Amino acid sequence: MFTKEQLAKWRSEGFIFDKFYDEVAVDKTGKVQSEDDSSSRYDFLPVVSVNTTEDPKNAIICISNGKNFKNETINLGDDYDKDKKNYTIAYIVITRNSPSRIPLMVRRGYDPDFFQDEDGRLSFVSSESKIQMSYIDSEDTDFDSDAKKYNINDAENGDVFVLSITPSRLERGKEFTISVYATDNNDRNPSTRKGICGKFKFIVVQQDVFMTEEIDLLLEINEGLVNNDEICFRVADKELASLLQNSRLVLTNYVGKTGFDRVKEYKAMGYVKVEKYFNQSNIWIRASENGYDLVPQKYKPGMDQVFFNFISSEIKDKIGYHVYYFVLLDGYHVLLLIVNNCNPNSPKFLIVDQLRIRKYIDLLDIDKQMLEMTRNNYKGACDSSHRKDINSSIQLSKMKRK
Amino acid sequence: MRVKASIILIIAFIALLSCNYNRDSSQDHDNIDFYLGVFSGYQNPKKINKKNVKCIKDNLYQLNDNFYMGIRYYVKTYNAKKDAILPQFKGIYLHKIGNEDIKYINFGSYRFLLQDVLATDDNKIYYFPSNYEVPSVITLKLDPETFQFLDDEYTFVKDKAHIFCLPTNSYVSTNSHKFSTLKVKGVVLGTDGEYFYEYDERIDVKRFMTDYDFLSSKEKDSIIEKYIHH
Repeated sequence: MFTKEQLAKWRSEGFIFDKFYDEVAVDKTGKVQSEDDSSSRYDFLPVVSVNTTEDPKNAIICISNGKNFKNETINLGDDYDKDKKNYTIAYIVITRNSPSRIPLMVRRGYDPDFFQDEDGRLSFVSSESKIQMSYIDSEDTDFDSDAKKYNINDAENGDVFVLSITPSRLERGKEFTISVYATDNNDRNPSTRKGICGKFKFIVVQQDVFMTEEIDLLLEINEGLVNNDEICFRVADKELASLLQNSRLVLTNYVGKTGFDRVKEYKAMGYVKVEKYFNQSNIWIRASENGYDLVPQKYKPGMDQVFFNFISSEIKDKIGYHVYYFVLLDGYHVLLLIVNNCNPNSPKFLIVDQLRIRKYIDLLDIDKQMLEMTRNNYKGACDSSHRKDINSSIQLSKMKRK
Repeated sequence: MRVKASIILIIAFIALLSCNYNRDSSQDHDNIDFYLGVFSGYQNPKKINKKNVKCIKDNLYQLNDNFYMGIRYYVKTYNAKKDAILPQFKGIYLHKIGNEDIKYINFGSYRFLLQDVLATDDNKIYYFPSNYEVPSVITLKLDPETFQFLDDEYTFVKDKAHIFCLPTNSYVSTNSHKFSTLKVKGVVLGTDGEYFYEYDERIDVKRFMTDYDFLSSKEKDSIIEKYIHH
């Protein structure tokens, strides 16, 4: 921050132009703008936001603008450049039991022709008192516990650091915000201005939503089981044992069990949030085909988005991953269906079993996939049962933590 | 209990001696692998030396001093061309008799009711569901004396008190005496005179009229007229 005398001296010495002095640095009343503590473009005016070039840890960050989801915004004030004053509040899902690491960056919020204070203090204010915050001097989120702390009292435009949050004792689904304020430091031109320069909205991951790390581990386990374990519902058990952190979900004896039995047991243990049975006669138009009876041909009128609608209603406003236990053709095959709703404006799904590794597909295509999968496997399911028809109803059970 | 078990074993032994081994089964032995052991989380049954496996009758086998029910063992394979899962016959899984689920059977009266699928020993009905991923035997709560098949597709069986749907491995909750089946366009439905049953699921007349589009309205009217008591 600069005094009127300094500015006048610099003008007389030719360091600043008259026009700048008259229109920007000193207002019409002759008052130096930077002397006004409420607003000055020469103060420390940073924007603190998510560093999107780095991955968060134990956190899912959503910044998206679309039909299903739109982040809230705040106005940082007229001192900021036009393209920076409209600030998007990142929506961040965090874990309940482990510290979450959010990569952040400090950018200049106003680009003056000449001088601006490039450093100052940041303060982080949480709406929730139960959380603990710490700041790590690291660009990425992979650091050891003894990593150097980032000094928020000596922040500078261009800095990158990591905000670590431990939400101890917070219940699942709890929402809170963290606002970031910038103030000048005690350099030669101190100011008492304190303005908001960043804000983040957090939610502790809900019971039926899973984090990226949990799904990555599930998929890693699945990769090891593809072509190695031939029993589909045992594969699902192994994956869910990891996801739900209960090794007893892998049984010591599978004789006399089916996928339906297992889902009943999961339900009894409190691991099913909701289930839906899509009755064959309600959803499909069925006909005889190639010597088999009641083969699903297409969806009944009005039913062609029945799976999409069910899943959409369950994942709505829940950012993260969703896992469904999926029983096909009367238990002929059991799979897990993973829905990636990290960006609610373009949710995707992935089918996981022991037969092959698949890719994420747009959730809008799920009904087409369900019909195709039922049709493709109908013959096998019939042959397996030595029948010409088989129950083509589908059961989806949404899994949750206890 | 021990005396009873001994008697059963003696009967089994006599049966074994007197059994004129089924020639087909003997021939099968040459081509079929036998598996023994548990299906646990991280273990599958092991293939055993089939020369030591003796067929007593139907799917009853002896290995050393133990007796087993032989259950057809399928695994699933993925056919990339068809993008489909296909069952592949792997062999016969030997399920030990004398365990918690099948404590003992009467070897003398044991016989298949339906090859590889249903068997009885005049005390119980044993079901080997072919759509189970893990070869299993289920003892049905059906009385062998009043047991009957209800249709030639083997969809429903019943006794004086219960109706069992084989494809879904489940009981149908309705009056057994009133329950019968009908076959329309190759599809077997059950009825108790008030509702229809597609597998174990109860379908009321209204839903029958709206959901079963593989039947014409005329066919539905005719079926309702014939089977539903107004």
